[in-house]
Amino acid sequence: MSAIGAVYIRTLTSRSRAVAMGVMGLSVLFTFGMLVYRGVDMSVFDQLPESLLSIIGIGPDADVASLAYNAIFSTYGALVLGGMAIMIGAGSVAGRERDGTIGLLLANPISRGRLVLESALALITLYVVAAVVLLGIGLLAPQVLDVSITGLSVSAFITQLVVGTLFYGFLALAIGSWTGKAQATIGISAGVLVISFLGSGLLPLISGWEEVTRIFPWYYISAGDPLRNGIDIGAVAIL
Amino acid sequence: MESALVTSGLSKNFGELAALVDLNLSVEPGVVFGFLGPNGAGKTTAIRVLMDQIRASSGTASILGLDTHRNSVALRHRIGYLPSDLTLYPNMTGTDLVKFFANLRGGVDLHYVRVLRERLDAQMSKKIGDLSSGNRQKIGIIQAFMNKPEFVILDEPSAGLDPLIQRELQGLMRETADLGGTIFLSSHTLSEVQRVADQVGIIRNGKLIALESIASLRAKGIRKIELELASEPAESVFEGIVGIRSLLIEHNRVFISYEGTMETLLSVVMSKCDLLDISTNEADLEEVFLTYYHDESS
Repeated sequence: MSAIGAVYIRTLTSRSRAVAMGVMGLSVLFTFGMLVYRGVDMSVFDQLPESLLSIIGIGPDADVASLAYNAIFSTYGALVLGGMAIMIGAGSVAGRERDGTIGLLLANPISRGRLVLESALALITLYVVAAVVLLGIGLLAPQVLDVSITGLSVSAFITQLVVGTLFYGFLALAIGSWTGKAQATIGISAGVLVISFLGSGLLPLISGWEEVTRIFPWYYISAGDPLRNGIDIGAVAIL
Repeated sequence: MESALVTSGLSKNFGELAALVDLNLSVEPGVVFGFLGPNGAGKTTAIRVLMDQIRASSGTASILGLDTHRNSVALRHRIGYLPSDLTLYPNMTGTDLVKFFANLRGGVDLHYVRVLRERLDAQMSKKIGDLSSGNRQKIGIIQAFMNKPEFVILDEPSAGLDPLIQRELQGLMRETADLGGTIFLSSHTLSEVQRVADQVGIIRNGKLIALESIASLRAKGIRKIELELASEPAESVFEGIVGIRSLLIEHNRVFISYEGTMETLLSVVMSKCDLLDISTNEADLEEVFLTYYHDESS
């Protein structure tokens, strides 16, 4: 094996367990969520505040399937995947600086740029695998639970979700590579994630502020309603 | 022959602090170069500049003819490095770490890794986080030598090692140098440098204050000399000999603390007395080292 790939493989192996646990948790949550929603009278959501419904992504025409996808994947899923991406991105350079391992690692014939590149490729690989697993669960669970997903584009929805959450990982990778400070990187990236999550959910409720949500990366995770309309190429391109 | 290491006006400032000042060095291949100095003298700063971990404020450095900054990646194929603040991946085993670094470097002979493991009696199957500092240091040494590097930078390599393993490490350094490799050994442990180094640079407050071979450094050492003469000499015999620090005459025996060449002393003594016997203690670098510091301080 050449120098190219060793950091990529190392990052994959060291991070795969955390990602697998996160994806497994989401899969279980999604399946149980759909099971619960199946027995829920959908009119109950009419009683909930508009702000809460907006934050958890429940639209006025929600059915059992879209409710499960949006409430579980677009909310908890995006937070979990975004958070894990931040941890992986921050750990690649800044985490190694914090742990003191980067000095010896870079004593090998690998440049800092190559380290960042291989870490980014590992992050993408992990999230492609995560997307495949989530897509599998997203398609399998409705069949097992006998929930109709006719007219829903699950693959587009998952793709946009994963691309959107990867943004936060790359943000952390960039900040961590620039500053070398792990705590600051995690703090800033997580702050961006939380602010954009709240901003994207709440600003549409304020008259005249709807368009401001476009400044938040979170907005593009579900921009164009990919579950119903397919992938929004513009949103993916922006991310 | 091209020098293995050349630095020219190498300096590093951290704000107002001059950590390394105008370092000019030339180390030939096949040499164990001891880089001596107390804690905070600038040794590790110099090494971090050589390893391109930090940028020099001014000056240049080249190892094996390659600029340490511009050609740093290419250079790292050919060098081994053991940092003083060795931090390894705690969840990896020694074997995992060696394989990881071997993949990064390429061309590592795993048979040689086994040889190193046996020589250093290293525990490779345990998680590094469960190892003692000495055993972690052994893994650090293995990774530094495993690709049979042409140039090895060792920063305080004996930390945590027992005397037997220290001796094995010194043997490894000597063998590498004998095969034409170069060892850059940074240490504040004089005994280690004294045993293995051919050439020594002494650094203090970021400045190189001495650059000499071990032999010439020893010549500057204070020797305890005992002379047995045919008869009791007069004190005047020894007057005018430069380098005598103390003199004690007991009948026909003379006890001298002497800093200088033996040739100078003996030529004077033998021209005036009948010398029956002589015994001398080898000069200790510790004394030389402290003398340098004393001189610099005063």
